[in-house]
Amino acid sequence: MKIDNLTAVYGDKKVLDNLNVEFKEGQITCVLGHSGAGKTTLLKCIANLKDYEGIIEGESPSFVFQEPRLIDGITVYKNLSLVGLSDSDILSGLKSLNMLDKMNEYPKSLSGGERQRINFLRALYYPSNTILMDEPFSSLDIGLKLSLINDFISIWKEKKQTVIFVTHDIEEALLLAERVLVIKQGKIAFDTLIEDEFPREYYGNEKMRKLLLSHLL
Amino acid sequence: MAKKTAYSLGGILFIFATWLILYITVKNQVVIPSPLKTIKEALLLFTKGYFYSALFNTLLRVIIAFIISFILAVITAVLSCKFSAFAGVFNVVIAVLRSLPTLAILLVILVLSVSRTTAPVAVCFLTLFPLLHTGVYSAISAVSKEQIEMCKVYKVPFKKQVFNLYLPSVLPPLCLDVSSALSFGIKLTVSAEILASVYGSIGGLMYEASIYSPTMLFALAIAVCIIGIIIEVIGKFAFEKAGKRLR
Repeated sequence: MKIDNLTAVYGDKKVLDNLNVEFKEGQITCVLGHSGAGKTTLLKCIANLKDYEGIIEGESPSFVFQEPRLIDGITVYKNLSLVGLSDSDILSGLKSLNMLDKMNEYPKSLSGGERQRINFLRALYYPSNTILMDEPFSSLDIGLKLSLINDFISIWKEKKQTVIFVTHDIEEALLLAERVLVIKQGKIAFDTLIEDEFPREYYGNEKMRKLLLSHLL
Repeated sequence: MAKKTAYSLGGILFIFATWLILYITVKNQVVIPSPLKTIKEALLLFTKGYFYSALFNTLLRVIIAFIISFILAVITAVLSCKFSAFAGVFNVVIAVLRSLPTLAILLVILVLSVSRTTAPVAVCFLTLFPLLHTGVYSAISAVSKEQIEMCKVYKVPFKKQVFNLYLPSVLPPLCLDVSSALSFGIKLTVSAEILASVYGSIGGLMYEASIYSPTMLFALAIAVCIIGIIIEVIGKFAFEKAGKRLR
């Protein structure tokens, strides 16, 4: 996916300012930045949910939203088939997350963590090679976050989609990203690779943490 | 449930007790007829063929007005949600329609020599349409913007969006609007039929009863109340059932 001279505004405020970036196929890229830095706007532009100037080249993506965005009136199975997932993908996805027994339940009867797992599953099995993720772990406790990251990595390893993941949390970037872009005032301020193998240790890679922190502050 | 039924029965008893007290105090059959005699007369109405024929004619008018209002309300509400310019213009039309004195319109319609039998339909439509438009518009506007975004990202076909997202969200609040619109429609149509003295309708029967028999007038009013309640319950039940089947 290639982005050239991307500019997006909210009213008079320029949120993305002539941003240029290329995302490598099959890589997990984390866009790290403070609130208001333009992270979510970048994803919205890529997903065509916001008007912008510039050029975005690439196929239409799937999206892991910050909140699960499941339709409460229909079952988990119907929520997944609604977006075009095949029966075999739904079954194997639910099986890999140990959630086969939840297939005919309504989202309201699931826990917050289970709902977010379905949100991930929907994006991972959607027929697209690009996944956008907008701070999907921000509302989860640490135990749930780590288990969800591990589940995500194990499914992603089979499919190897291009993942663009935004967060303000350095630890999430260190756990999940192969490449980190720090975004500041609508521009890429820092770009680095993380070559540690998956699964990664929580609070590992002290050197990278310090480096990212120095560019974030 | 039992408590609710007891409260409802209490309400009915209160009305009849008040009526009885008024009947005993006023002591004038023309002004306040006997409650027992009236109830007897009301129950007898349900055994008469002419009553059913009048009821059919009145309900037909209500249903025609309701269907036209509902279809138009859905169309205008969808257009209002889709195009803000249309919403801006149409809000004024709805505001005017809401504030129009309906019975004055009936008189205008009668002066314009429109048939007496269709005039109540027009009055019922003019009153129900703005109510239903507002109800449908609010219900559609309340559908989650986040879910709509989700459908856009995942390219969910419009038909699937309608049946899985819009209708399940829109139908429950709409059930209430529709059932109260139906009973309101009956009230309005009967009033319009009285004013237009439409022969062979409930309103027509009431007009005749007001001249010849006050007891019959009260009995007809009770019968209309019972039918209004039955229709409100059936309407609510049918829409709820439809909402569940769509899921």
